[in-house]
Amino acid sequence: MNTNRAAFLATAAVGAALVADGRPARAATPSLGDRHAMEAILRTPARHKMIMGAPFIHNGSCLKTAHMLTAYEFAYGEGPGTVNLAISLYGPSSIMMLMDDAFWGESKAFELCSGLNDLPATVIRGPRNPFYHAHSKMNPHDDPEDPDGFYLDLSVEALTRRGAHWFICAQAVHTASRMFARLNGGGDPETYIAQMKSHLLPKAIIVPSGEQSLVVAQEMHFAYVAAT
Amino acid sequence: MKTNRGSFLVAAAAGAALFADARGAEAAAGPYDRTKMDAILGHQAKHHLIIGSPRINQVAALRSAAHIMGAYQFAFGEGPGTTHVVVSLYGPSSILMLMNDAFWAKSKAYELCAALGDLPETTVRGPRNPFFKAHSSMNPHDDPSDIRGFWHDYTVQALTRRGVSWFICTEALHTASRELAQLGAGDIATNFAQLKASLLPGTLIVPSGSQALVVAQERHYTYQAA
Repeated sequence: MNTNRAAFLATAAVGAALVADGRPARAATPSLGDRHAMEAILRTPARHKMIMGAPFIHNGSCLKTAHMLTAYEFAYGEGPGTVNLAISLYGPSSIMMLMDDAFWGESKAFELCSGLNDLPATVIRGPRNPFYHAHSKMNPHDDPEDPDGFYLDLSVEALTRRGAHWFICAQAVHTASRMFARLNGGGDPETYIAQMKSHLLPKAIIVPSGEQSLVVAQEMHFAYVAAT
Repeated sequence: MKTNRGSFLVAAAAGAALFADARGAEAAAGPYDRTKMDAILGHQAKHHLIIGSPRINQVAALRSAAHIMGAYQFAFGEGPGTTHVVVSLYGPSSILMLMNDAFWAKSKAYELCAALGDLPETTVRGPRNPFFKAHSSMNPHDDPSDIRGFWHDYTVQALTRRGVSWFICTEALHTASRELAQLGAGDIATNFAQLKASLLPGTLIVPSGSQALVVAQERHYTYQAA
């Protein structure tokens, strides 16, 4: 988080002053989330603005936002780049979609997701993030209707190339850290949090709350779609 | 919740009496308190959010409400009370989160939720609403990062204390009444009356929980599906 200590303490003081009985509230642990990076992304000008919220992987349903981009680009004839798309992942399994190969290879990310019954049937344990790598050559000259082409490539890599922004919920990071501790028979959750932070995919940012990001975005006139 | 068996039966009887009226069940379902609904949605706040929840879904609605209020309060440094959250429950299982202990003890609420596959694994059958009573001591001085503290207390009682408003869907009350009857728990009309008489304090019956999502968004609420 970019908030410095002085700003944080000032913030805490505001909160403390508002506690009903006048006693000072305990200082809050600084959030993992980067509010300012989130707001900068949400302020990016675009003709259309949309945020999708995904507490689960749900067979990669959040990746199907590719269809929405394609509809504006081709069916509406607007061309590329008219949509500011943010995808907010706020469950312990869905945030694993935004961890790099090394994390999937060395952690129990697979076990965490399978324990929550939240992996597509086709996914098997392996050394790579099964949601990241493009299935196509990411060629923008592909036919939009080619099922093996760029525009029907439902991967994090392809969507990122098309301009999608990715939010990871700090609360879900905490939840996942506790789940990793259980899956590993112990360990400090803070260690798991540090590991996750160091293995985020490029363009993924941690926000204070994935659910709250949906509210913040709508207040900035984003359309909201729930991943189902 | 202080509802005892006596008051439960009195209330249920009063509700059931409505069905003896020739107007039938539909008339008994209304009139709705549109004024109160408007008053709730007109609550002054910096942020307005409605969460819609057709299922209990591992208390997703309750968790989201807590996290969103917590993020504005602490991460954004706005302090308490800047976010008005309305939770609209519109499925036959999710609405049971807003029934009192007496209803959970004497009805087949647990069985209905279990039949729909919509109970957290940790929930066991007991004499109380498993979603109501606070898990924390509801101390506003708790550390916001304490997973066992007030700010991560995903219960109806704790969230009500934090100012959350609750809408319950009439259509879902009808559906639950039928499904309870199918489980062998009385007749549909009596079940409906008992459900209405067993609401937690502060719960408002609305014509349609899903329509409430539209009404709220037309009033510039943000929305989240849970």
